[in-house]
Amino acid sequence: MLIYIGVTGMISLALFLMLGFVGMTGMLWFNKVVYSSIITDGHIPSTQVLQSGNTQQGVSPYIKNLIFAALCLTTLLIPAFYYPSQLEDYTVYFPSYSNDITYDPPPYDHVDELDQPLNDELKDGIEGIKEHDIAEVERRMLLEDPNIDDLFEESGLSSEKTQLTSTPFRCGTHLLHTFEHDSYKFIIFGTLLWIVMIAFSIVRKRQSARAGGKIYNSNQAKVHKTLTERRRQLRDILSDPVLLNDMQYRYGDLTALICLVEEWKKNGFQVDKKNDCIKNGRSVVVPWIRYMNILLILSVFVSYICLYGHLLVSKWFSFLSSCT
Amino acid sequence: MPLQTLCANRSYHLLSFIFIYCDIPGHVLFTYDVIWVKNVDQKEDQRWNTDRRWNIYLTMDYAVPNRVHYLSIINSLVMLMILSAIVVTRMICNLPYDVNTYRRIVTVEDKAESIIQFSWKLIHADVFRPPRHSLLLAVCCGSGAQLLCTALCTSLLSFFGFFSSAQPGSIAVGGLIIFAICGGVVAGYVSLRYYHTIFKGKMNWRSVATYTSLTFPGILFGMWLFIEIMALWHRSTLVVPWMCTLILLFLWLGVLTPLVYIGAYFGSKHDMMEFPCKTSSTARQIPTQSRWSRGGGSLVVAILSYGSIFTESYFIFSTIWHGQYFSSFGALFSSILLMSLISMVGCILFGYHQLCWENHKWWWHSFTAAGSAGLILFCYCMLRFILERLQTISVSSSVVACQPA
Repeated sequence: MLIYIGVTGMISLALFLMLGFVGMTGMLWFNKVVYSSIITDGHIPSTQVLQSGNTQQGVSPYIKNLIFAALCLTTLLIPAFYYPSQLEDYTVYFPSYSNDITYDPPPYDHVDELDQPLNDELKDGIEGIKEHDIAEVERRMLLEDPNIDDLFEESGLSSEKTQLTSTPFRCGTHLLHTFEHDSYKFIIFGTLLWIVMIAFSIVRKRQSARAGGKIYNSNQAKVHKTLTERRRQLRDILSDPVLLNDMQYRYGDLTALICLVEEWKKNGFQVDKKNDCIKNGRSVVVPWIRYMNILLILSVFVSYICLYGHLLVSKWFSFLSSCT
Repeated sequence: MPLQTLCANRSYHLLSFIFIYCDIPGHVLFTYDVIWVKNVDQKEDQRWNTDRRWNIYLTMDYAVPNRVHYLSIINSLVMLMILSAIVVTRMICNLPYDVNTYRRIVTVEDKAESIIQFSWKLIHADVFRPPRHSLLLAVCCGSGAQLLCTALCTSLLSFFGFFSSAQPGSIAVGGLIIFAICGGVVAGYVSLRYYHTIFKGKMNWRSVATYTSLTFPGILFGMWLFIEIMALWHRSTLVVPWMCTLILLFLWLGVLTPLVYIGAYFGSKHDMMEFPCKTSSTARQIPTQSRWSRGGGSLVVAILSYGSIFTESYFIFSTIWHGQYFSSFGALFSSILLMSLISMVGCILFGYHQLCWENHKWWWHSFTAAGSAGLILFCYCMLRFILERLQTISVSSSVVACQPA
């Protein structure tokens, strides 16, 4: 036990130092780059020069969000796209594999009780290969049977039967093993349960987000605190001569904003709850609920695609392969 | 009870029969019989040629497909791409390249809202303030650079075939030599570069070099000695001889230490690093920090970093504790590289948010946030130990077996 802890501790300490050095060096570089962006020389270009220099419109935020969502989905869906590549392996193990054979999963009860004596139907399937073909290969190899090549054809016939009762990816990951032990009924029941949970969650959140609700009250307090803190930060930025120069370089004339901050300062940076908080609360709370719901639905969709959608994806893959 | 060795294409090579008799209570007679079967398949016969005999052990008869490694690398790459995209977006927003974007903002409220995103600039006079315990941080950075250099060089040389699992102890010996020779110079150079030119420390360069050469290698040697004493206490037959211990001591004090001094000498010759902002005389007060900045961010960075090397670490620990062979050195090299990059990018993101909350003590925070992956690794090992109920005797024997021959 002590030896195990000692060796593990050594490796962990080494990893700690190694990654710590890398992280700190990266952060030092980043700080040097971003803090060098502060304009300290007092040179402020005129608005006309800036406007004539670059009139190109930036990328739409919708497109940016779309790209980001596509990246996230690609990351999450990579395991699903990985499965079709297992087809190649399957053809190695089972030469008689054919795409024309329709997948027909075995009943859940039968697969779950593999330890018990098997019926004839299943013996022709998975266990049939284990008990019949392998024993035959072993016997003929020991006897150096010249007709051993014929055995592969027999194996091919059995593997075709196996394909009918087992997913073609059973040689692959543990994830797919789960599918073999589930039935469609179970999946449909799980999906319905998720849909009910999502619907209930959405209804509850919407109720709570109304005036007087729990989410409403807690977020109002958060918005109040955040707004006060932001106003204080803005005052600090505009009070610092270096940063004021930098901001004027970016935003142009800031006289109106400085006057507004002076006004806030007179009121002690307090926020008018009835106006500011409600206005900002709407812009914070409602999108938050919307995004949370979208995230919940997306996560369920992606998890189902990853867990049970491999056959569907493999069909797309084979369709695309046939097209190309 | 017959045991069968099954190849990928279902051809048999040998059949083993194990017999266990239990005639007298408390006495077990263990015997086995082996029947060799001549290969019929010519392709299979080629697999058992002398020059490729080790392949069956190194690949564990292809028990783990290469796709497992590829998939792990692809996942890490995508993770790195997403994190890098976020960092680049932040940098583009903050750097004054596209000033017209800001000039389009007309209303006062929108200007106020937009200016707030530059709250990290509030600590421009404190961000490059030297950290507390700067000597310790410099020594840690030097040792970290040394270990990174060793890990990358060892995995790369193993990938090119200089070291192999087929030669027992070659990887351990090679790693130790790289750690002492190549890593020694790097450690001295980096620690002095950080201490003198970045932290602006006042201590003599020889003292810093001494601390660098003694601290982490000393801890490592102490732990190794402890393991040896434990093995000796258990009267293990595979305890490393005293001569080997003396050689290791010589490698540390006779080779590593002088090389650290050489590296430190060159590191101290550099000019002071120029920072873009001047540091004020008094430090700015740090506002109350959120839970995220206190530890949540570090945890996320650590999980992301360790997640990128999780697959490879699983195989490496199987090699150490379960006597398996590891041969995917290319994947290991890629994983180390990706882990370092993910750690760096994650640390930048976490540090950026920390700066937005006006916390200018980022030196130690960024170091510990990125290094927390080591803590995750330790927790994972402990969990694995508990779950698998690893036997102490097999652990000690495996440890001793991993020592250089």
